[in-house]
Amino acid sequence: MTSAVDIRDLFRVYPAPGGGVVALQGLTLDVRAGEVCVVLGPSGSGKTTLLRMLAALDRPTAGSVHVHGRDLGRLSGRARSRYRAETLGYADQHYRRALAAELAVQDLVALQLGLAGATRRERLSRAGDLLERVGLLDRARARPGELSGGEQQRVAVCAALAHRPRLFLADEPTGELDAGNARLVYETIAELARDDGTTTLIVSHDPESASIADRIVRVRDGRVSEEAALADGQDEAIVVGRGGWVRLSEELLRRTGIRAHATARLHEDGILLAALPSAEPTLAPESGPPAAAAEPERGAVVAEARGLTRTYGTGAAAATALAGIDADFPGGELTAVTGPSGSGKTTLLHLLAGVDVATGGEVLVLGQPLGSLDRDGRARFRARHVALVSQDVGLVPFLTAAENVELGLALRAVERDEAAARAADALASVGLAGVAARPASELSSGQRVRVAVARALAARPRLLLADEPTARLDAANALSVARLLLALARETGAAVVCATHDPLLVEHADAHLDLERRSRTIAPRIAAG
Amino acid sequence: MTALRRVGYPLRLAAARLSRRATTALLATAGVAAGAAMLATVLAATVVARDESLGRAVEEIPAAHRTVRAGWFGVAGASAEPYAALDRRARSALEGVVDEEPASLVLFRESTIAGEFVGLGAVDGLGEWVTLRSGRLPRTCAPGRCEVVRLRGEGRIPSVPGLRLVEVGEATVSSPVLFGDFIAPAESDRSRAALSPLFRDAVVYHRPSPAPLVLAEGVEELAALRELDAVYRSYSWVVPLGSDTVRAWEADAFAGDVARARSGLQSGSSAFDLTAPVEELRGAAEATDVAGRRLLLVGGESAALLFAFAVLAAVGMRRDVEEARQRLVWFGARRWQLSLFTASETAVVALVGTAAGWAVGTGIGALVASRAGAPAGEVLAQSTLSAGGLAVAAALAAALAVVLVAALRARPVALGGRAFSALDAAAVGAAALVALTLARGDLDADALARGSGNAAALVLLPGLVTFVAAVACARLLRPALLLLERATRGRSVSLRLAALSLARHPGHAAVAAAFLLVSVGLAVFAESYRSTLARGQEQQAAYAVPLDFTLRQDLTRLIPVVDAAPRERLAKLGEDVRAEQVVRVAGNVSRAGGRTGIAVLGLDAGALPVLGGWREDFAALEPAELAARIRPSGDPGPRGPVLPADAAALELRAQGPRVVLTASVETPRGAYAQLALGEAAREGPVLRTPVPAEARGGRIVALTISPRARVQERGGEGVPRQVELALGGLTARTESGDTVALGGYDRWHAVNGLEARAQADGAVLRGTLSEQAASRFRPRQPSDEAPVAVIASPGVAAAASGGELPLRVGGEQVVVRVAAVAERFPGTRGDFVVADRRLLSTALNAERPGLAVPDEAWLGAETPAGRDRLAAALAEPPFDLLEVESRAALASSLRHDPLARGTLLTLLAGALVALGLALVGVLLGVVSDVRDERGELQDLEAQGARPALLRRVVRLRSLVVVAAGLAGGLATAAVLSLLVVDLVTVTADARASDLPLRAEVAWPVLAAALGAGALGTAVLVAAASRRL
Repeated sequence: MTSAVDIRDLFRVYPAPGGGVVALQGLTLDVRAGEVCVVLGPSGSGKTTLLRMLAALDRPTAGSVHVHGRDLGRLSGRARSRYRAETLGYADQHYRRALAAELAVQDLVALQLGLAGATRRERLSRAGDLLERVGLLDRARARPGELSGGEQQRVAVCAALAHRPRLFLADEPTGELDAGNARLVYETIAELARDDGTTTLIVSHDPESASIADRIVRVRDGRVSEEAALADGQDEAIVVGRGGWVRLSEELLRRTGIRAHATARLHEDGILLAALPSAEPTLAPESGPPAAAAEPERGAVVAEARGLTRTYGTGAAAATALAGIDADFPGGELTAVTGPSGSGKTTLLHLLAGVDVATGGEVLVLGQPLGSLDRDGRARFRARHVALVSQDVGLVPFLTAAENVELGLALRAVERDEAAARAADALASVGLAGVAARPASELSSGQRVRVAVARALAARPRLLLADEPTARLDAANALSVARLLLALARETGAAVVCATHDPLLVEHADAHLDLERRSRTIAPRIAAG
Repeated sequence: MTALRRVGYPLRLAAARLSRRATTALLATAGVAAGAAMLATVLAATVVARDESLGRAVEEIPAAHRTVRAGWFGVAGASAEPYAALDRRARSALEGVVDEEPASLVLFRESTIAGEFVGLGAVDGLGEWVTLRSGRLPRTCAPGRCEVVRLRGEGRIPSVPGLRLVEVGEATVSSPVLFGDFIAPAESDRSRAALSPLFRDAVVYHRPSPAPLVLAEGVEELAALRELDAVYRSYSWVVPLGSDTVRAWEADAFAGDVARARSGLQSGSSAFDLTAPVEELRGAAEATDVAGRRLLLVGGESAALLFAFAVLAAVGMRRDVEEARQRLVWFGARRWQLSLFTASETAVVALVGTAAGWAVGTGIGALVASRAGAPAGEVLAQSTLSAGGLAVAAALAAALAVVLVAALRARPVALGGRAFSALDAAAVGAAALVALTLARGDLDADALARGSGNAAALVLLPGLVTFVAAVACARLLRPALLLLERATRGRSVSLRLAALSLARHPGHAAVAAAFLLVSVGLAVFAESYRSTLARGQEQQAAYAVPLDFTLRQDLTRLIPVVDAAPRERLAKLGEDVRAEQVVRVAGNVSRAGGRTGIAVLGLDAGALPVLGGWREDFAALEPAELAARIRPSGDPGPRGPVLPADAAALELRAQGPRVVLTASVETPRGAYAQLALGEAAREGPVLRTPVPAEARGGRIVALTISPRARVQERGGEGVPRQVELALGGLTARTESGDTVALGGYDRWHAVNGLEARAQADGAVLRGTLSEQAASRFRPRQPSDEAPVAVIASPGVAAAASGGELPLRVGGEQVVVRVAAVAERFPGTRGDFVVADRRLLSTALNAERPGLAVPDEAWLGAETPAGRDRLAAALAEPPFDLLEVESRAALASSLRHDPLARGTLLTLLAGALVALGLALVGVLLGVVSDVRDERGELQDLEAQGARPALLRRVVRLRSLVVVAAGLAGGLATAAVLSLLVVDLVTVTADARASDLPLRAEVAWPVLAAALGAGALGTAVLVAAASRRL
């Protein structure tokens, strides 16, 4: 099979205050024509940047991207737009964005054909065919707003494939769908793409996407870390980068006891890596949790979810984000909440924080049913007992780290002098005392997350909620933040709940709440260091 | 076909979007339409105002001249063409000028017919033009019996064979249109006198009793009489001009038509002529053009507002459009398809908005035109629906589309570590253009008044200044917010959060603040300019009529003010009436740098503080201080012996050469009487002259000694003559026969060539008499002791040396002392000198008795009721013999001037539209703010902020933006007002003012508008943030 996508040593660095942000660093990937390749990886690992490169919406800082022999980095503006028109199909995670509300379903599906100059008959014929195959022919004249989420996403997939592209890119195509609808969409993609022999690249957090994949590629820190060709039934392969660079998973490192250094020697037809016998320092000075944190002291339950349900919208457009979740969140523990995009992780955090209100069930924090409080009462309660670190950490870029923390305390009506003292303590406890006077814009991504954690910590909450705290962080920083959150849970006795896709964080959690499987498991103890 | 479909598809998508997302598009379109409607209304209203103003100007032309008149002059026998042929040619020529049929007449002016001096004429349809006083109207003239009516004159009417004139009645001409000055010369002259001051003096000459003037019925019939063949005649074909005959836009074409018709007539016969008030019409049209150009300011303001709203709308649409574009990018749209999609969407908003606004503006224009009595169709054809008007609309739509696209798509570029957008570059360019334009003087006030001003620069000025201010505001907003954030630390969490959040994402806030700046700035500018013009009208009226009324001599009656309105009559007008007698003469300063045509005004010093029309920018000193500077220290009145109230004659013994003596007496009313005493002789006769009634009780202020009158060759000059004259004492003989001695000559002195020596029983005068200067022997006057203190205009004051100034008045020289300088003084134009009336009169009359008498009276009442009573009294005899100028009437006339009214209404409408759009801008800003910042607000809430705090933050954000826009708007308005008022000095009625406009702010109106705006803003913000 010929290579449809050939990416070599791809780098993309975005300029940012205080230095560039590396989104891709030496990513190399080869996708064969007609292959369905699923790219998995945590948030911020470079998946979306990869898609932008393949869609010729962005240019590489270094390296090359070839699609069907065309070097996308060298295409002129006109050629890039022609490439998108003729070669590319794209389905976005936020399918509503792809579906213009003003057009009927059949017009949406035929949109790209229309832009290419197809006749009305051709457009409607192709749209009819596709809609019939996905079971939506009877909704051909409906508007997107009249369809359910799953139907909309199927329409979006049809729209992306209507012109029979040679390369189909899908970014979290089931991100906002329930499992049943997600499966339907994956089946649609597989069927349509395979019928036309379309090379398909799907970026996802959702393991379900693997069900249609010929090959799975894992991305971490802007490069391919592992891959597995499922058709061959082989194990996941570790990628050997140019120059012999190899990336080992945290799990392997932990199990083998390899820390900062290891020995490598030939062993039969392979290489044997082994930990150095002597004790070694940790990967990063601040990355290990304090000794006291090694022993979890499970406290009383701080927060509880009882039959928690949250539905958005009504009628056909109603979407259930959470359905009947039961969970306890004890003090002194780090709980990781996982699930594919759209599984309700953020919704759960918002319900626990009292920012949102459940449509069914109940949330109790410190024994207080939040549903019994009005919005103002919940805000008062939150100010005293709860802190939430959002995915977008929301720091004010031109304020210093300390000022950002103080501002958070000002919102909680903490006096100025006390706020300054608390901010200094909190920043010290997250290892950022040295950068307290630097503007947030000059901090690294990891430092910014830790400032956000410090801001939450300074409020001395009993319940600390963090939404994807390791998103957009490299492995070292993600590890550092994971250990920090664990240590904070131990030190403060607060219940720390993190919504995450990141296995690193899951590995460090005391408990794991999988929203997709609706299961809560107690994680095996992580060895200190 | 495929290519065509590729082109068509983005258009179809844009149409689908617009039809489904009507709210956003409608809002943007409505804003564009409001601005376009304003512009269109301005265009149409300008034409209406100009037309109405021209109509007024036409009405001001004396009726006798307000005609188009074709005339033929000559002798019938000498003409190759009969009357019928001349009539055809004249009517044909007039058809090309006016639509109406002309009235025709023939006139044999003061001709000698059959030995009789008579004026004879004939009119077709005589009954329409005369009013019978007696008898009946004549029948059509026939050779055997030509019936006539007599219009004027005494004497016999000729009647001979072949021309038997039979008088059948007497009549008067009911309209001056037909005969012009010939029939009603007095009325006509009076009208001319009103038009041209130069003509005034010529009016008063005596006219001899006119010859009989008779009119017959039937021009052709009278003209055909053989007996009149050799008599010089004039035929006239006359069409009266109504106020609506020539429209404002037709003045030039009318002049061309007149010239062509005249040329056509004269090419056939040099005896033909054609006249029309072309110059008057042109002058009026030019005045209306100035107003039209000034209204461009409002047009420019509307355009600036429109473009600012377009930017605001574009920013509001940006996210939606970006999403749509992004979607199309993913769907493989080519770049040109994306451009076409964006352009078509914005073009529809711009095009539909402009078209709708233009249509609405056209409708309003039609309404305004019909209300003003102007032909709506023609007005629109000359304004919004003219080729130029439609081109403006098309250019506007295109420019709006470009602005919308640029605002949607323009991306900043990094330069030296800072981001600069196309707007920044444009603002720098605009600032440079304004500076260049001002430096070049393209907006010079005189040039504008002349019509040579750069209209394009004028229309652009408000827009450019406002644009620069808006961009500056947008750029300065973030630093200001950061400062605010610093300042509020530890004080107000909500204000700090509001400043922080705005500083983090200042984009939309900056645009909203900039738009508010534009709308508030232009609203306040429009209102303050309106106030300036309106206040200017009041100031103009008060400046021209310093108290409530001014009485002057009526030049058609020539009755002196001191006779019709003497002091005692003025005193009877009421206790609450202030009456000031005023002396006004013309003077010159011949010194280097001197001036001519100086108004020399004598006014009681005590009246200065109560005069209206005074502005503090006239002088550095207050009126009371100025009054103190010119107030005389003692009694400033003239000195001299007083005649008894029953004096019948004045006697004086005069011994010496034969010289003529005249006594000058100031009458009790303030006038001067010259009493001719007669000639002196060697034998020393007692000269005697009767004392006229008006001089009794008067004061003798001088004896004039002049050479005896003699026959003198033309061009020759009299020879100076040495004299020695002994005078006895002055005595008066009363009606009862008593003789009253009037005192000696102790404090008398002689001037102009004579020296005097007082003696016990008289005085001896020695010296030289000449005919160039009258020699006088007179009492010493207060003005002889020190120069008269005056307030002078800067130009006059500059000619003073050592503070003293030789002023020539009526050929006499009087030295005055400049005690104070003022830029302007109420009741004067140009250069002036103001002195205390009595001292000035004494000084001038000492040089030449009678030179200065009160020739004006300024009257004022303290209360409105008193003013009404005063107005009623002045309409009655004897005051009705004088010309009465009323300040209230003048102000009313200025207020009701069509141009002024149009300008002020347009400015008011502009201010209201701008204020309305400001509120729309606030609403848009708040709604966008709540929508766009929802995520940030949720984050704040997640961090523990209470809903009340969030609402406060949102409201404070709006408040900060509104405050920034308001402050910027007020500053911009101040700059614009000063700039425009300084540049455009023409008054509301488009005339160059004697009184420069001064920027005025109607604080109550402004406060009310801002209060209403603040209330509206508060309601909008509260409503929009209620559900947070």
